[in-house]
Amino acid sequence: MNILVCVKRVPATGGRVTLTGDGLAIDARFLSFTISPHEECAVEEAVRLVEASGGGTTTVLTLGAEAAADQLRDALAVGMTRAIHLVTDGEDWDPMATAAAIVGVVRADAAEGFDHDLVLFGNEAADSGDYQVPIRVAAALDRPWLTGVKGLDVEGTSVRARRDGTRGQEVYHVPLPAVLAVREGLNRPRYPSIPGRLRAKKVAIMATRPERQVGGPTMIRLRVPDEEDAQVHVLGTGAEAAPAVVDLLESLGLVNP
Amino acid sequence: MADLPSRARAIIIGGGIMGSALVHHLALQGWSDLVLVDQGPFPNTGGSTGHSSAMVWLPEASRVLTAASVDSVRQYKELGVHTTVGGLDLGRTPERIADYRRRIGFIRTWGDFQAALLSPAEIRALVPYLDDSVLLGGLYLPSTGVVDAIRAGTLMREAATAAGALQAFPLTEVLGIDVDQDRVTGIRTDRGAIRSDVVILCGGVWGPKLAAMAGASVPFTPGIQQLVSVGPIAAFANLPGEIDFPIIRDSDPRIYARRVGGDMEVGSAGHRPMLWDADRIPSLAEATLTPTELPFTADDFDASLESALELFPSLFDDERAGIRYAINGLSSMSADGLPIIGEQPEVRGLWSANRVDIKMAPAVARTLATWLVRGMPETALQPFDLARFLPHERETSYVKARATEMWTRMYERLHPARELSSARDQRHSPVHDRLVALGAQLGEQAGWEIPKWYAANEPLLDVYGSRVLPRSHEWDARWWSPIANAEHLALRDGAGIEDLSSQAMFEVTGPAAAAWLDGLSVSAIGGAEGAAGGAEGAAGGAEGAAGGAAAGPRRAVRTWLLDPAGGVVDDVLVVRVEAARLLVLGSPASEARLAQWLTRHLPTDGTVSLHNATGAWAALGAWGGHARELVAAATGLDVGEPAFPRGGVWDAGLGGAAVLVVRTDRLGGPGWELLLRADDGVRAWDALVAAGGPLGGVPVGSIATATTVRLEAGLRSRSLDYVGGYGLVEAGVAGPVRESPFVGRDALLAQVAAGPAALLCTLGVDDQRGPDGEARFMQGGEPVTTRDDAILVDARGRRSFVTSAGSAPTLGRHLLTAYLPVEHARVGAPLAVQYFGMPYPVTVLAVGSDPVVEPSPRTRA
Repeated sequence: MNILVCVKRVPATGGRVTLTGDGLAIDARFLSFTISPHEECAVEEAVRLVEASGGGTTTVLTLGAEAAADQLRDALAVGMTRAIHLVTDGEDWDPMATAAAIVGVVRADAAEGFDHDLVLFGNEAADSGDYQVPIRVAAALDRPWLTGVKGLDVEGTSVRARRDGTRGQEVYHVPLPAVLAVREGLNRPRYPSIPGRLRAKKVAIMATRPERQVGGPTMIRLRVPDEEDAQVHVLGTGAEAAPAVVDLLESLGLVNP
Repeated sequence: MADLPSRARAIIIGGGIMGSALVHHLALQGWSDLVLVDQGPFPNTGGSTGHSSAMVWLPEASRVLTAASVDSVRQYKELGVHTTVGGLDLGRTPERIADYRRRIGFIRTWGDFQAALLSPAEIRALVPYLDDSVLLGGLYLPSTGVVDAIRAGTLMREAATAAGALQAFPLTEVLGIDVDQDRVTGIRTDRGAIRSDVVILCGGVWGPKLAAMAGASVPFTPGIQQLVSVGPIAAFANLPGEIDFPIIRDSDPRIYARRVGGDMEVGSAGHRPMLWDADRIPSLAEATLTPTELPFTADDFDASLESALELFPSLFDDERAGIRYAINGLSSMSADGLPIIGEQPEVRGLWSANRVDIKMAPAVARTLATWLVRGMPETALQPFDLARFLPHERETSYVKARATEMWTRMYERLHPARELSSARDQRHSPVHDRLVALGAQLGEQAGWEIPKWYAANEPLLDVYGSRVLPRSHEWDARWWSPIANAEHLALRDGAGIEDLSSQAMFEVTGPAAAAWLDGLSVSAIGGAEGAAGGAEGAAGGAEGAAGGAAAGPRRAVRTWLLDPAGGVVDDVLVVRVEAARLLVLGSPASEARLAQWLTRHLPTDGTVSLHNATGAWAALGAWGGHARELVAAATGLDVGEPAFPRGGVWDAGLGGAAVLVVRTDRLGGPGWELLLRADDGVRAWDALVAAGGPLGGVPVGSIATATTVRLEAGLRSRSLDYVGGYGLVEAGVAGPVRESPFVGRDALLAQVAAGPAALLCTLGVDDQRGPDGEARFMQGGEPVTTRDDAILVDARGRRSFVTSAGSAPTLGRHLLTAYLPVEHARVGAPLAVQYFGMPYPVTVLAVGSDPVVEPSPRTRA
């Protein structure tokens, strides 16, 4: 099967997020860049599914500045085989324009014989959090879509997908081709191996500069939510704290009593 | 958390390994009311200590680094935080393997360390994961280990706290350092202020920022070293402990690797240099990990990844072994790669300890604590002293340029005569253009560009033929030319003209100037007017019988400055120009040390003024067979005996310039130094060179004067011969100790009474032919052994090593100097020297400061 995964280059923030003076972007002077944890799971899932299916391609796509090629390399390093870079001048595109560009790629790939059975997204971008792009893409392609996916099995020409609902777990059968937005927790993403990283350096990234569709929502500014004061409870010191630590781990369900 | 105290005996800023070790040692040495603050939490404050691979190689790259590492390892072992696993320095090329043989020689002189050259098969037996097919061999250092530095710091802080000597405050940010009339008075933090007249900066990469709060500066820069951790490594799944096989260092791609539990950590010094600025360091809140674990730039590390994969295919060629930690790690980098310790010159009471890595910190802490508590630095700290920097070495551009070059040269095969190429042309002699026009091959000392030899002297090679002792091996010939030996021979046959304008020069003036210098000097400075010559303990012999009368109070004295323990601070020439005006002349490299020493001892009552006049004067030297005629022709002075004895000082004219003519005999035979104003330098040089023409006078560089002529004359090297705790007696230059008091007199008397355990001797190499018949030329540092390859050790446990080496073209031999145990210090004693792993027979030619080549009768005139 063929799977397309869409990722977005975002700053990897530390504890405190600071914005640039004009409030339009995150101050990334001290930050590295990455993709969201949801997207990491999407990449991992694509690699696993194609490995399991015994054939096909995985394509990673991003829309962003030149530097976003780093994120494509990271995805190639964990096993994606094809990379597409929609190069912009770095300004954030609104969800409508982003979706339109991605739809363009899906159609162009289809014209060349790459039919993507699945288009995977992270549930929301880590920085802007619009929640819109996967749905707009699905609608434009007239494909079934599902968000919040935390479990996924391919069954022939459809996919059995699970997600958390308000009253428990929901299970869906989604016929392919489909668009899915997945959540962190879907799987445990692998780290790139050394051979993986070295192979990724040699893959030719297909880069184009798409036209930006106008008319979508415009961001006015970003706002950092008020920080909640972290509560710190000291469990104890030294070896005497061990029983309290065990109790805590048990209550979190990380350790069996 | 407890409140900050309002005052403290000493405030230490920074709770990494340096600050933690320091409070421990201050407490051990009896100080209490110590306060340590750090902006970060304990135990990992977020500085460089927290992410370091914490390897301690033993032995280290030099004698002084090894001594510090030995002390630190002993302390870490006492704390139970050290694991010995051994270290392997890999060799991929024949040059690298040869260099390990050379290093094993040095190691033999530093102590009884284990070190062995291993074959690829032997390496594989130690580390089965290595692909030895890319290796030719390696150097195995079994005493190498790793340290849990965070735990060590914790234990050291806790010990000081438990002793009631320390209060430590994490999560406390320093906002300012208070200074009043150039003295520190305390600090201000986000939790209050603390008064103290001792503040010690151990802030790591934040050092420059902290120093700036007090209006001070420390010349180092933060810089990046990349590090990754790869795992889980399948082969490590069931291995015990954190590490169980040697650390690997691969010096050609410049990477290292060590096991950490289930991972393999790989660090690189092979990526492009990436210096950093102190104002680009994120705060703890802003940083994703810690402020010194900066975002990883993957492209920069790819070459290192390839090398790691090539070395350890069985570990890394595994899709399940992921790069699960990767940082651009931040640490401190100095221009010379060494720690920077001492009291800030700008602010009394403000100290800093910078660029001290984990392998050094406990040793440095012990020494620094001794310095703070007892007020006298052990000589071991001297190479790290903050006072070593000259003004140009404190400039940010210089620090960055040198730190960059040192980064790219890390792990290189270090040649003793190595010259750096960045940040050159800092200081030029007044006659620099003349030197360059003569094709001077310039080397750097203290920022000065100093000729080692002159290309214009190449025709001398035809004159002297094979007497110039040519060198065919590329290592032996680096930063050397047979022209230097030709200059040596021309100096003996004709005369040598040397530019000495780069020498350190201090003017001492005032009514008490001579008496003050006399109190610092081994030789009398003529504080008593009209004192006759005679037995004054000056260098190697009589001062010149008729000295006093003709010269009046004007005379030049070769002497030494000692510290109270009898260690040699420097070897200088003191010229008394007038009753209340003297000059102290030292080598270019001595300037910073002399400035510090003289300033520190200056009386505060205004009776003595000290002025660093380095660079304000020009100075020329005239040496050799016809030097007397040369100086006479150039100045019109009658410079023969008895009119102009050694130590004489005269005014004269040279090329229209006023010069002070001083007979110093510095190179053994009669020799004159001409001192004059810098602006007159060129005309004086031109006049001297013109006068020299008909007499066979040629410009000569520093190899001829400071090495070869000096060696033949049995004279000591200021920089090379007084190392290792040997004093004047063992250097063979102590005469009778005069009655008048001077600093170090008691210690010198004790040295005389105890007698030498070793004596500095001159040795000649009997047969220089190496394994393939090529003549080899030792460079310095090599071990001296018996003919049976047993290292020589004196009664005080000190091992013999070559202190300096050079050609003796007059004799046609290669010469070495070394301190030999007294039982071997006799002319004719047959010994050996080990060079690149091969023994070469040598014989003692002279003991103490006896010359190997006597000045010829005509030159004695």
